[in-house]
This record gives sequence, structure tokens and C-alpha cells, in this order.
Amino acid sequence: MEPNIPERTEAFLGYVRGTLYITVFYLALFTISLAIMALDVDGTLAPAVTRFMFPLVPVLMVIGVALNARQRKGFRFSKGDPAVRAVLDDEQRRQAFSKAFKAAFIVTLLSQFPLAALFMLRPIMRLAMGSNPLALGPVFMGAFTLVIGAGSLICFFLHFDRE
Amino acid sequence: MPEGELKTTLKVQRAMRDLTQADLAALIGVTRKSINAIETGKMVPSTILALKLSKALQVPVEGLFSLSNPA
Repeated sequence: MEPNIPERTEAFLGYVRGTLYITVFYLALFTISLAIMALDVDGTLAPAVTRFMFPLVPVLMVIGVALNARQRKGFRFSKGDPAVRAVLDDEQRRQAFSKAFKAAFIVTLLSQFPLAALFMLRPIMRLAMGSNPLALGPVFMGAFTLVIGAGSLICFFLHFDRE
Repeated sequence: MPEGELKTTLKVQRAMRDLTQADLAALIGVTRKSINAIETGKMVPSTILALKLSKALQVPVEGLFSLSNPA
């Protein structure tokens, strides 16, 4: 047994989990921005979101990556590293991912009903406000489906993978 | 205990060899969480993992795992 492998494995595990938490945070930010743009029927909030939120994302991303790098505890990891292989081939994590995938699939499927109802209402709301009822419903619905699917998959995985 | 539930002596066998969960995990190439999940009965290991554990601890698989009420 090589020295340090348990410590390196724990460090890599912490780093991977940290990366997933950061991804969930960005997905949440993206979802909020998307929701504001999709539901802003009179078009007053959406330009503000574009102006402030999107330039902020790269800055937050750099801060998140820098903070998460501390989880590595100074170790460098390569693909063939036994610690990396142990985490990637770990059976408990595979089982957790399998459970998370099933749960996320159900959530994404069920989310289609409220999303469809919401985006059917959107053109009607825009008409009522006197603005152009652009047919962006399917585009927003697709985008929401993607973020809900990815977000719920990562959240369920983090939940099932906890100790 | 429900019929056919998996029982394990992994914790005892590991302690007899003075190995920590992390040491055993490193020996067979998994994370400490997997060893913990097997010991606490939260996870049923695959055949491959059971054989790896058996080889690492030099105990037959039947000595490591058994069914609570075999049919």
C-alpha cells in the first residue's frame, strides 16, 4: 500500500463534492436569472438581469474554484492516480449515482406539467400587458428542463452520497 | 431481522488485522465511505468487491458475508 493514499482519496473526494456544490450554486443562479427573464412579462427586469447577473457569474466562478482548490490540500491529481481511481470506481458512489439518476428523472418528468402550464400562460400574460406575445415558451421550457434535470441529479447525488 | 438480510463480519475482521476503514479502502481501491456503508449494512457489495475484500483480508467470502435467515 502506497503511503498517503487514504489521505489523498479523502482530499480528492472533498474536492469532487466541493465542485458539485459549486455547480449547484451556479445552476441556482442561472435558474433565477432564467426565471426572471421568462416571467418578466413587461420586459423591465430582464435587461437589469443581463447587465448585472451575467458579468457577475465569471467572477463568482473564479472565487468558487479558488476556494474549492483548498480542498485538495496541496495534492496534485492525475487520471492514473490510485486515489482518483478509487473515487471514480467507487461502488458506493456508483450506487448513489444510479439512485440519483432515477429520482432526477422522475422530478424532471413531473416538472413538465407546471412548466407547460406556466409557459402556456406567458403569451396570454404578454398579450394582456399589451406587449408582443413572442413564442419563446418552448425555448424557456427546454432551458428549464435542462437546469431542473441537471440540478436535481447533482442534488440527489450529493444527498445519496453523504455519510 | 428480515429474511435474507446480509450480515457481515467485516468490521471484526478488519479490527483483528488492526486496519482502519481508510487502510482497507486503499488496499482494495475504493473510498472509506464504501467500507463504512458495507459495515453498517447500508450497501450490499457487488461480487467483485466482496471477492476483493475476501482477498485483502484473507478470509473466505462466506466468512465475511452471510444471510440472516437463509431459505
